[in-house]
Amino acid sequence: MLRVQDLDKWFGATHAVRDVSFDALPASVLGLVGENGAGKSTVIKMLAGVVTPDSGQMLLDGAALRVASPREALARGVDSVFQELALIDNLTVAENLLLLDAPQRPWRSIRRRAARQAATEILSRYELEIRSDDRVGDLPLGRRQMLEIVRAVHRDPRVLLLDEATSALGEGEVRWLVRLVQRLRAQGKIVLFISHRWEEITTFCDRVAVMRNGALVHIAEAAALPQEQAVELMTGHGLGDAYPSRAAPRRETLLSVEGLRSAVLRGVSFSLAAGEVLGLGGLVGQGQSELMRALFAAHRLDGGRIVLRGQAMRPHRPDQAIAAGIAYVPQERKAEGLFLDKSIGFNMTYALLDRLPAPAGLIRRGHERGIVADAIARLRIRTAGPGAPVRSLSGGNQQKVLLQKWLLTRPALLLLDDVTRGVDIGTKQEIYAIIREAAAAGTGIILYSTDTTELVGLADTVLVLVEGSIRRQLHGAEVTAAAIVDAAIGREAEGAPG
Amino acid sequence: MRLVEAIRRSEATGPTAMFLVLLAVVIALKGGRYSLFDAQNLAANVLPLALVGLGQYFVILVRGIDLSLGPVMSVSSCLAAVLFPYGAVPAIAAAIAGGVAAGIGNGLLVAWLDLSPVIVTLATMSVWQGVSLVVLATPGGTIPAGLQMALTAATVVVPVPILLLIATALFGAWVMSTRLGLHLRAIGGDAGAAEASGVRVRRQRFAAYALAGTLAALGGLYSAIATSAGSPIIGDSYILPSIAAVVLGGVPLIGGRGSPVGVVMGALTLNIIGSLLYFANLSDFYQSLINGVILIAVVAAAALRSWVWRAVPA
Repeated sequence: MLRVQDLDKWFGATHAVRDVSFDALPASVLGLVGENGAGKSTVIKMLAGVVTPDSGQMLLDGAALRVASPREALARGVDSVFQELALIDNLTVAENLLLLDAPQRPWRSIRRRAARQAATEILSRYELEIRSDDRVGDLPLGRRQMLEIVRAVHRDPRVLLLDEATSALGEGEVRWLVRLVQRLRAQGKIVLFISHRWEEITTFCDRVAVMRNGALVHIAEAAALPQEQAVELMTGHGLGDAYPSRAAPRRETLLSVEGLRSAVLRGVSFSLAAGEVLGLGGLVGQGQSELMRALFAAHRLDGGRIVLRGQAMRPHRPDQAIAAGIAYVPQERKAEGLFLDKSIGFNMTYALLDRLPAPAGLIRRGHERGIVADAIARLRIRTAGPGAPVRSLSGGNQQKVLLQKWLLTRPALLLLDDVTRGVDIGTKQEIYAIIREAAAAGTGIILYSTDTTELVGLADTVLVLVEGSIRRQLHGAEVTAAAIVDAAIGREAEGAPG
Repeated sequence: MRLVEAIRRSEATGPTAMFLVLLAVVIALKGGRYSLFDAQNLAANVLPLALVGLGQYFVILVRGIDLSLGPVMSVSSCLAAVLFPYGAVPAIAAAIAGGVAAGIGNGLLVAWLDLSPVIVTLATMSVWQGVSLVVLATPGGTIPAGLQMALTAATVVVPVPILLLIATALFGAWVMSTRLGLHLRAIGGDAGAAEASGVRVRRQRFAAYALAGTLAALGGLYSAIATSAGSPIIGDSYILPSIAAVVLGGVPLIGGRGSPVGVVMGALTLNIIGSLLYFANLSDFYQSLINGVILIAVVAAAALRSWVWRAVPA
C-alpha cells in the first residue's frame, strides 16, 4: 500500500499542496482530479522524486519513501509518465526503451541487435505498432506517449503514476491503455491516474480523490461520485452549462479552401463563414494539425487554393499569414508561442506592439498595462500579477495567455490546435467562453480537438478527417459524438449517403 | 546490400568521402605519387588534432564546449619535456595526470556547479596557458630519441602513427557503443528528458569533460614526442581547430549526434587543407585564417541545411 501523510509543499508564496493524506491500495486505480493548479501534479511529482516535500511523509508498503530524484524513485519501484514527455527525440525507440539497461558485451559495448530484438519483443508484447529503430522524434505525439507508458510498465514498477498520460491519445489508443491498466490491476499494482476527461476517470479508476486549491477535499469510490458532484467539489461551484450558447454564424463567407494537397493532405476543400466555429475531428494524426498549419504557412502545400475575405492568398511565412489576419494557437504551447521566462504582460502584448498607439515611436506603458490588467481580470488568469513570468502559471493559465495574445490582434481567422489538451474543466469552460465570444464578434474559428465532446459542444460544423482527406462533413444537428466517431473509424452513420 | 545500407546510414560517410576527395586532389597535385611514407607523415601530423578533436567531440555531444583543451595539450607537452630526464614513466604519467586533472576541474565546474562551459573553459584556458609557461618558459626540454623513433616509425607493415590514428578512431567508436555513449547522445538530445528517464546526467556530463582533458593530454604528449620538444604554446594553435575538426566531422554544435570516426576524418580533412595551401604557394600564416573561414563555412552550411529542412518539411 502507498500511504501519503500530511504532505505539504510551498512554491514561493504559493501553497501548492496543503496537508494531503490518502492511501492508494494495491490492485486498484486511484484517480486524482482537480482544476489546473489544484496540486495533483505536485503530489505526483513528490512521489516521483521530481519535487521534494516541505513536510509530511510517504510510505510504500510500510517503509518510508524518501526519493530525491527520478532515478531513486525508479529504484524504489515508483515509475511515472508525465504529460511533458521524457523520451529523447534523437534516439531510436529501442535506445529509449533500453536507455539504462541495454544488453552489453564483455567489453561493455551495447549488443545492438539483441537490444533491437528485445525492444521489438517489448513492443509486440504491449501491442504497440512501431518499429524499434524508428527515431522517436519522427513518431506522432500519441505513439510517443504510448511508448513512454510501455517503457514505464516494462520496468515492472510497484507503483505507476500516470499524470495526464492520455492527453495525446486518440480513442483507440485510450482503449489500449484501458486494457493495459486492467492488466496492471490484476497483477496487484498500485496505479495513480490523473486526467481531465471525466469519462476516463470513470473508465479507469476504482476510487477518486478530488483536490482543490492544494487540499484534498473528497475521496470516494468512483461509482459513487457522479460527474456533477465531482465538478462541484473541484470548482466550488456547479457544472451548469459546460458549453456556452452559440450565436448563429453570419452569411458572408470568410474563408474558402479548394483542393489543398501536401505530403499529408489529399485534396481538402471547405468553406467557413465569419463567426462560424468549424471543428476538425477524426483519429489522432489524420492531417488535422497539418491542415491548420498549412493555412498558417507552417506546413508546405503542393497545391490548392486559399481565399480569405475574397482575396486569394498563398502565404509563404507565418508572419505573412499573421499580416493577413490569421492566428494559430499550437498544440505544444511550450515549444511554440510563449516566452516562459518573460512576464505575462510581455507575452500578451509583443505580437501587438506594432498596433499600439506609439507617439514618437514610444509605447505608452500605461496603455499597455491597462490592456494586460483588463485581460487578466476578464480571463480569470490566476497569478501573482502581470509581471510574473509565464513559467510560474499552471498549464491552463499559460494557454489562456497564449490565446489572449492572439485575440488582442483581432484576427479574422483563429486556428486552435487542440488547445484544451491537459486543461482542467473549470479553465476549459473559460476557454470555451473566450472562443464563443470571439466567434460572436465575427472571427472565423477552426478548432481541432482530440476530445470529441468538445467538438460537439463548440462546433457549428465538423469535418471528420481520415488519412488527409475529408471523410464526412456534419452540420448543425448532425454534429453528434456518435456520428463523428463512426466517421472517424470508418463506419458511416445511419441514414448517411453511402 | 546490408553493407551498402550501413554506409548510407552511417554518420561518418560524409566526412570520410570529403577526406578521400581532398586526398585524391593532393595525390593528383603530387603527380600521382603518394607513398606509405607520405601517409605515415600525414598520420603523425594529424594525430594530436585527432586526439584533442575526439575529446572536444565528447564535450560538444553533451551541448558543451571546451576552449581549454589546447592549453591542456601545452601543459602535458611541457610536463613531459621537463620530466623525461627523470625517466619515461614519471614524465608520461605526469603529462596524462595533468590532462585528467584539467578535465576533472572543468567537469566539476560545468556539470556539478552548472556554470556556463564557455566561461569556465575560457578561464581555465588562460589558467593552463599560464601553467605551461611556468613549467617551461621556452620550447625545448629533452625527449628521448628512441621514443620519438618508436612512435613515429615505419616499423613492421603499417607505420606506427597510422596504427595510433586507427586506434584513436576505434577508441572513440568503442566509447560511443557503450551505455556511456548512449547517455551522452541522450543528454545532448534532451538533458531534462534524460534526467527524468533515470540517466545520471551530471555524472555522465562530468565524464565527457574528464575524457576530453585526458585525450588532450595524450595529444600534447604525442606532439612533444614527435617533435622531440615540449612547447608552452603548442596547444594554442589547437583551440579552434579542435572545434573545426568536430564540426567538419559532421557533428552539430547543439550536440546529440555525430560519429567519432567522422571527427577523425574531420581532423584529417583540416590537415589536408593545410597541405593544399602548400601547393597553392600560400604561406603557413594563412592556416589560421583558413581555419576560421572553414569553421564559419561549415556552421553556416549546417544552418542553411536545417533552414531548408524547416522550409520543406517531410
